[in-house]
Amino acid sequence: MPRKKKVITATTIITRKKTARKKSPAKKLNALAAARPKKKPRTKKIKPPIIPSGPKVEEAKYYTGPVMRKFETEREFELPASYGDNRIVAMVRDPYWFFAYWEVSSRRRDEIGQMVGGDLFSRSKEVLRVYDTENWNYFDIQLTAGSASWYIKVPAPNRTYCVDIGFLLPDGRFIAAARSNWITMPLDRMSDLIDEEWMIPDWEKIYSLSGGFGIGKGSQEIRELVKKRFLEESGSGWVSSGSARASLPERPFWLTANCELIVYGATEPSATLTVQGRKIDLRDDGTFSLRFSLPDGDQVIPIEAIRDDGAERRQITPKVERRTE
Amino acid sequence: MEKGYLALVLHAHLPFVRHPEHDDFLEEDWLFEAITETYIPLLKVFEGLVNDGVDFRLTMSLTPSLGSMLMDPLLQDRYVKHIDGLIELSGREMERTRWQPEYQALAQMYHDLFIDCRDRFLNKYNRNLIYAFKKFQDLGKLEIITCGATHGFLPLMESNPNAVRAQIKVAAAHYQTMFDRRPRGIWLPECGYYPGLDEILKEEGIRFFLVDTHGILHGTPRPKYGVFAPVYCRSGVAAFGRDMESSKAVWSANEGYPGDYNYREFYRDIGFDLDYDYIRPYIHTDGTRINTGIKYYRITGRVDLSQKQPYVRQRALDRAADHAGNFLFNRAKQVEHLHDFLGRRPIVVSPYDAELYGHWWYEGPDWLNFLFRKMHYDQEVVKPITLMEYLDHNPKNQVVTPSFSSWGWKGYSEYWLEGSNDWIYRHLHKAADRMVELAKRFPDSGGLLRRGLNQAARELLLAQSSDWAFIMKTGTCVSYAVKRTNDHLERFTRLYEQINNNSLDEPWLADIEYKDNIFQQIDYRVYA
Repeated sequence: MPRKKKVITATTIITRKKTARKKSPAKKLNALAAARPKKKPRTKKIKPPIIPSGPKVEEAKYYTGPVMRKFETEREFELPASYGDNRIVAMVRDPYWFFAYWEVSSRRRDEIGQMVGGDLFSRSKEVLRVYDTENWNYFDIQLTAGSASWYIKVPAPNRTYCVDIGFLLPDGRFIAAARSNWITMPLDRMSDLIDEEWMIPDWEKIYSLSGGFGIGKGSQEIRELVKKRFLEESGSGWVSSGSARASLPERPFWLTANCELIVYGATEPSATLTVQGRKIDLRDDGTFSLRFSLPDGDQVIPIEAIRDDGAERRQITPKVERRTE
Repeated sequence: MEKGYLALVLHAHLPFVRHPEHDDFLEEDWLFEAITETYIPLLKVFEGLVNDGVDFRLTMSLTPSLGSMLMDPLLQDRYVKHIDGLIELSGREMERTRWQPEYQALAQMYHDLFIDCRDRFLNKYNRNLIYAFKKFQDLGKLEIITCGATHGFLPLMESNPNAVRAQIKVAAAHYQTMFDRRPRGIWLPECGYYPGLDEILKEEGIRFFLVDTHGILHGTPRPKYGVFAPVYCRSGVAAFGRDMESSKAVWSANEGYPGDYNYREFYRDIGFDLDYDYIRPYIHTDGTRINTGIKYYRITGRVDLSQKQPYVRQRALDRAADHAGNFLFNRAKQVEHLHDFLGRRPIVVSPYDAELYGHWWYEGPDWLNFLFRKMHYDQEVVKPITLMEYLDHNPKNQVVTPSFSSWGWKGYSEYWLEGSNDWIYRHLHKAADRMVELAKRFPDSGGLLRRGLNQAARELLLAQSSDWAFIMKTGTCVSYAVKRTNDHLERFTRLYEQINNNSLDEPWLADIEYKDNIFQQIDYRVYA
């Protein structure tokens, strides 16, 4: 005789809240990840879960083939603070700003110290000297102790600059430890240069038809949304219809509720089972479970099992009424 | 006779995410979702167009990192498991929603869709989407272009030209293994261009690239036709500029089509909505709720996620058709106006991230489908064209040096070079310098040493992926990006040290060769 049960569970439909939900891929890498609290299901159930053999389904889903090889353990590693180099590198950020990072080797430092004399050197200031390479006009930036990189604003775009890292002595002399690569800042507007062969009758119009007065607008907003989506730990909280975050209404107190119905049971594993006339696959042990959303009204759910030789059948018909008030 | 051209360009890219060391890795889902929601739907659209005799044209990048993932047997297997799970889940959803016809119809839609995806993936495409795309290239409908090998943002590598060259050379070689010919065009990662970069492209036989609008408009000398004709760099490589008007119609967060209230709401997914124990087998193994891809709601309006109304497929399709018609109408107007004004047939270049179509904007592939059909049947003013085809037919163009630019926020490098991510460059540059040094020091090598050198090149390329800097800046899932940067730099540095000490650790090398198995055919001497 098959077991029969009828269970109705009501589960609250949860409005999503942002929670940390990224699996940290690291073994033990990241203090942040390690400190993250274990996620818990945020559901409150009236009855305990009833879907049996869950792990099996799960295994099947995530089974990725027989050969999961063992890997050598990789040792802990930290990127070095410095490489013992003596160099400075400049990188363009936009028409007005570039970025420089540097390293002054202790050898170069000693060299300069010896050259200028220890006393004088100890009173020197570390500075960046930024040159316009066209006329070698320059300006200095005095650095805070221990800095190894800087964002530098240039006087004018579309010019070529380089920068020295060095020491400004009390007597006004500047001793460079290293010189950077040369960088040309982008032009931030249309060029003044006009090609005679390709004379332009009405440039302003071309410029504006091409979108020239709205540069930097357009794709980025949605691109960010799209990319963010790939990176979002939770997909929640965004409306796709706009770039702004969905503003949750100010609700000091609220409630949403819904009902679901779970029908489950078991029969001979070899039997054929139908629910409301539709064939349902049994698990290996003959158990089954179905989950329905449950709207208001009456539901009749005939469940029928037929023995594999067709000689016997059993029927159970739960009737469920939901009335929401 | 047509008065101008529309060149749609789709940029398909995902960073190389492959973690054989984990049974189930969240970030790999990026690929699986894109396969189900973007790549296969696009292939379906192309197929339908070809079958119906609609003559369409599209330029599309398939980045080497994406291509490598699509051809990877481990990820292919995992995709099958992934789609199997969705088929099972959508089947259960059909039961669960039995008394809610509007939801059940959607569950059925997803169920059919997933079954079709599985069938296509396994039987029609033989697990390899690259060949599926190649077919349309061979038919002359699609021009597939390459990208930086790992989507490295090239302007921030300018101080080491060999590193830039390696990104291009490895990409071109990889393209050849996928498509049996050399790439003719390139999508510069994030459209990042600096003057001189074109010289390196030329070495690889690349004929054209794309820049953002101001890359052309701020070029020197002034470009006579604005962005409505390509320009040649001094190297002879052509640059096409993005048209803002058409881009905005799709991209703009406020006016763009994808925000229509009838379209599917991306952010409400049953992975978050449904009872935990029910959904548990279909979310991440560690119990983290994730997007499953089954979404029942439409955007509805500017309302809270809980207030969304059910999605009605037919209404969404009708809107997609309207929007395609609207887009085409506007392009026709634009082209007619430009044609008279310029005295030449303009080309309107509209580039988008491919994953916008289908993955984010669910109806995007349908929109494309309608657009190409309308363009084919309803009018004669605008013709679709690939960028290469345009160059073939219009070889005379002005010589202009485009301006340093990107299509990122504010148009330059700032997204990838700011407080959150600027620390990576000293390490990336150092690694690149060391790689060049190794390549010069070992012009000829074999056996274990050669494997070590090749792997060092892979690790460097993977570390250079612009995606990591981007993620650090966006502020979500930062630890993964930091970890990836560190891991690859670490592996590179170890290799460098071991090569220097003549002490390569073979078992470890074999491991990382298996983990970071991108570019199997790489030759480290590209750095020499």
